[in-house]
Amino acid sequence: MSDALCWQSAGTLAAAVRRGERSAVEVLEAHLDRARAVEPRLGAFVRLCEERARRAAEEIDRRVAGGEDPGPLAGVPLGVKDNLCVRGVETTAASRILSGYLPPYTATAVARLEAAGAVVLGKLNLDEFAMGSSTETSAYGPTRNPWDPERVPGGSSGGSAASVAAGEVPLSLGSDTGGSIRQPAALCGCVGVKPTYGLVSRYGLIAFASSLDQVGPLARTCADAALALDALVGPDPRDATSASPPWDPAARPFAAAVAAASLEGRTLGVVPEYLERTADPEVRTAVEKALGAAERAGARLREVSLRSADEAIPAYQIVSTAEASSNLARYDGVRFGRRCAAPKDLEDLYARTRGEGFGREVKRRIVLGTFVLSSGFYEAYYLRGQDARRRVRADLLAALDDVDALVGPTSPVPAFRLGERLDDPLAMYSVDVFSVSANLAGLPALSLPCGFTAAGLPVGLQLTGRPFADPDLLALGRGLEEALALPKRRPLP
Amino acid sequence: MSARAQILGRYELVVGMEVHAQLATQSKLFCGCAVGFGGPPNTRTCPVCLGHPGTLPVLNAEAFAMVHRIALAFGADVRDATEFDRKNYFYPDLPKGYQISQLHHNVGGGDGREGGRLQLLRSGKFVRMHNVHLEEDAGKLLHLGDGGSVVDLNRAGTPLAEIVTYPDLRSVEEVDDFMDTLTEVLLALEVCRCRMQEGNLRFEASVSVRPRGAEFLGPRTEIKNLNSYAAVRRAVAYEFARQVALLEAGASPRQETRLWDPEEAVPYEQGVPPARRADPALLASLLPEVEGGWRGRTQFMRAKEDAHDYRYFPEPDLPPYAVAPEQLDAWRTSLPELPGARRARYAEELGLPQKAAEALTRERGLAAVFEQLLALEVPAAAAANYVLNPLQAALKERGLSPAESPVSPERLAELHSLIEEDNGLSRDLVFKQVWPRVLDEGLSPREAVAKYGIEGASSDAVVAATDAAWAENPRAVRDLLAGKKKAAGAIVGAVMKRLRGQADPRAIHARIAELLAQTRGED
Amino acid sequence: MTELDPRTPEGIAALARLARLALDPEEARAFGDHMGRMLRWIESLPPARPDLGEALAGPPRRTLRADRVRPSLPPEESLAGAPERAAGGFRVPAVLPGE
Repeated sequence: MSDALCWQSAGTLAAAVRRGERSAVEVLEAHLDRARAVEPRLGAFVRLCEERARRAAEEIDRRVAGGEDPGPLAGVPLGVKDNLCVRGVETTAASRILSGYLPPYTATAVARLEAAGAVVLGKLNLDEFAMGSSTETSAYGPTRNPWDPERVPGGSSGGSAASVAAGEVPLSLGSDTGGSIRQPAALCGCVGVKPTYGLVSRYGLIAFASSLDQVGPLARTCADAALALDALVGPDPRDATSASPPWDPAARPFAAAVAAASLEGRTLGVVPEYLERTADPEVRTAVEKALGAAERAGARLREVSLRSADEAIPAYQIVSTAEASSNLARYDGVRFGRRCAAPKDLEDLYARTRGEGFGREVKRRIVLGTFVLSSGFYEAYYLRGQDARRRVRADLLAALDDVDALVGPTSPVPAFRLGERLDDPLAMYSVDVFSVSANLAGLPALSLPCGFTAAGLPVGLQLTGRPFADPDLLALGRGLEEALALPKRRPLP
Repeated sequence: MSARAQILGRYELVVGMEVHAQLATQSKLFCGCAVGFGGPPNTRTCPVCLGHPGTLPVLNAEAFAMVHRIALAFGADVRDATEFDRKNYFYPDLPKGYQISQLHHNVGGGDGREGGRLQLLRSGKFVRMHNVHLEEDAGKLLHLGDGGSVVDLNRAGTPLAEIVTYPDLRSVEEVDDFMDTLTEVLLALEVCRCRMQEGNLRFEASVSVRPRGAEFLGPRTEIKNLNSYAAVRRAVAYEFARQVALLEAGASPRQETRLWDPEEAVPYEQGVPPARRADPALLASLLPEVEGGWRGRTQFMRAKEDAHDYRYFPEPDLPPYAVAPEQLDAWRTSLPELPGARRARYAEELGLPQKAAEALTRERGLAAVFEQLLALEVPAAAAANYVLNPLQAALKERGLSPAESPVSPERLAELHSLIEEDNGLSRDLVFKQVWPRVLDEGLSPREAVAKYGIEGASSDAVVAATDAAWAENPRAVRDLLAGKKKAAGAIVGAVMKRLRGQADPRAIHARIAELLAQTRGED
Repeated sequence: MTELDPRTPEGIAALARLARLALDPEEARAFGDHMGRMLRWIESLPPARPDLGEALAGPPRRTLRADRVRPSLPPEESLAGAPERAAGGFRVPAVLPGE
């Protein structure tokens, strides 16, 4: 009984709590039970906030009992990627350098979901500072893929994807800098949305690369993701890069779009460069099958070429490492976080605090980012990367001129084995080949499950849309879900 | 000519200035913490200015307006879209590990664009401005003396306008002139409190020396840690002497950054290669002569080759800020009259003496009182006199600014009427008896006259006393008749003595004139 | 400034100093190897065009904040996470005056 609750959608749970048919505490305990049962095999959470969550759930129940409406996410258990600050709850970005850090404030994205009634169950694992595609660079150790514990869940929001796929929470928050929501969603078989840059506030998101980072939801269905997005989007006076969309966020446009979803008469752009670069034939087959299903449901397919496809990853490496090298300068062992033992002078304090506190992948990126910005190399590297970024954006916008969204695989491969790519950074980076473009261009993109490999590993389909076409993108996703009608499978029984 | 003057005369001093002016906003540049001075450490800090993970900067609209007003006051080419850059370096007083500043998209000037200029008040010379930009201040370090330092971030994030000039200044006097002029301009714009002792205004001088007549620029020394106007003057004088001493010895200065140490007298050149050290005796002989001996020296901090690699790049957390042409026009047209222009107008149009014109425009708020008196139809000369003498003295005594004056311009104008009216109240009497009561008791001048029954001598008493003095001073009468007008002073003095100073001198002079006419008529 | 070339051990060391990162020798070696491959990849991009040199920061916006004071954190909260404190502030090893 309680296990069944864990597979219900966020929408169903919230509706039951709002009507008083189920208590938020009951919903919470069912999910805590599930988490306790699967965590030893999964490692999605870096910490559960049971007491804080119980207090929040009891408050929701009191409000329902008092005739109030706690909001559209009433009592929905929420997992939060550990790079989003929650006041008074240890937040580390899975880095030793932030061990013990208690933020004095809460991220806007978390606060908005809590204001809509969501109950934060705990903090989720990630690659250290969100730098990675496998959740293996976490100081807490790796999270495992719920479909095969010998494989990675993808990353960097691996905990966010795994926890949702494994029924620990119906909804989680992740962050996406080069595919960090979509790629783990694809590898774990759930839905992950990276909104248009600026649509969701970054305030309280521990920065990796400020011009690329975007907060977004992971859920098991597009409808649940839409429910979260209606609560998440909208300008924030604390984030100067947050944007006012050309529609009213208060009118719940995502729920409306998903409710009216249809593929009839819609045009999807198929990028041949992406299919050619899909290394795994099973992934390619699953995607092609999904395209067929979309056509049968009334969608038109059109081939659109992206000539800048091969520029995206190098451009991404330049821009993201440059910004990261600067964003991570604040971890200096002075005001918060960890400091090395017995520094002999200030320089020693800096070098050892950072040398010991950051993991290898983070240091690697700081070194590269420091180089591309350094005097004498700025033009040859940083500006060259910015130029490439501009071409990628122009290319994508032109490709989107005649179609409603671009469609293709989210990742060229399904979940790979733990350790398989960890010592080969370039092989790891190449996993992002289809996802980084949306970040470089600031476009909305989502990943949804489109099938399984013979070994039972999920395959994800990516949709990329025009700026601020996020509600429509969710509607197309919902349309594809209906067209595909995948059989329900549950991992980790 | 002294040997010193002879040697220095062969060289020319070349100085450019870099100024950091804390903008007089209520809150910090990127967060809502209060801007202030002093107070217990880390009491004006929040997650944003502490550089906590996940925090983001949001630009203060008032600071943005203020820095534009400064650039516009110089006549700089102001951008229609401004962007910010990150300047990356590690230091404990810099919470984020980078300073949000501007390199490529300065508010005014820079990148080959017109930076405008500033006309110096005393010399009238124009100094070209290179650029004006907006950035955040760092925190402060307190040195404990036990092998540790303490970081206080109250100041971190305070808005700063950085103002950079071309190397157009050629003497210590011009440097001084520049500092005074810029201070007055910033005060007039009401963008900076300009209290150097509180660090509101910080100057760095970039000093080089070349043979007189040369066109090239020598390698420059940047001098930091200049905490007062006097420190800037002395440091520039010292640096001139030090670099000349090097050149005289056949060595050449190199590009480096130095710290001003105001206390020490003996040159200190640790870290400088021996061949680049000035001969202490020669250097000492070139320093200005000061009573009690010269104090202060510039101390080597770092050479050009150790310069930081700041890895500037565009700040991704702040979008470009567009400035609409209408906004620019509004800022431009609302610029106040700057002290230079105002000073010229007072001297040329109102006919005030140069000294009075300068004095009225030097202290903030004095000119405003003066202008209000003019509006109340007090003649310029009298108005200047009231403001600069009784009013300024009273303010100084009470430690008040003109804006806090206990006497309104209306009451000053009333005081003027009281003096001018034919009521027997002399100027002296008004200032001796009425003014203190206006100041201390908050009375209007007429209320003071009524309350204390202040009255001048009656015209009958003046006539009687003048007649008596006329009779008692035959020598003065004789001189007067001989056309020596000054002789009237003796008679006026005698009348005043008799009437205990309560007579109006104009009435005495009128009676003397009558007596003179009568005496001449009798002859 | 070729001493910063990340393909050489000296370059990695100089960059690590600039970034205030202590690297162990094994890390430094691994980074050098990886950087060489990474830079070849990056160098496959066409060279930068200075005429396109403007930042790519999206359309100008006017997200300004009114100049109003908001409450600061209580000082004990500002200092709560400090590894070492003294005299109401964050303690660090002695620093010389100047920048």
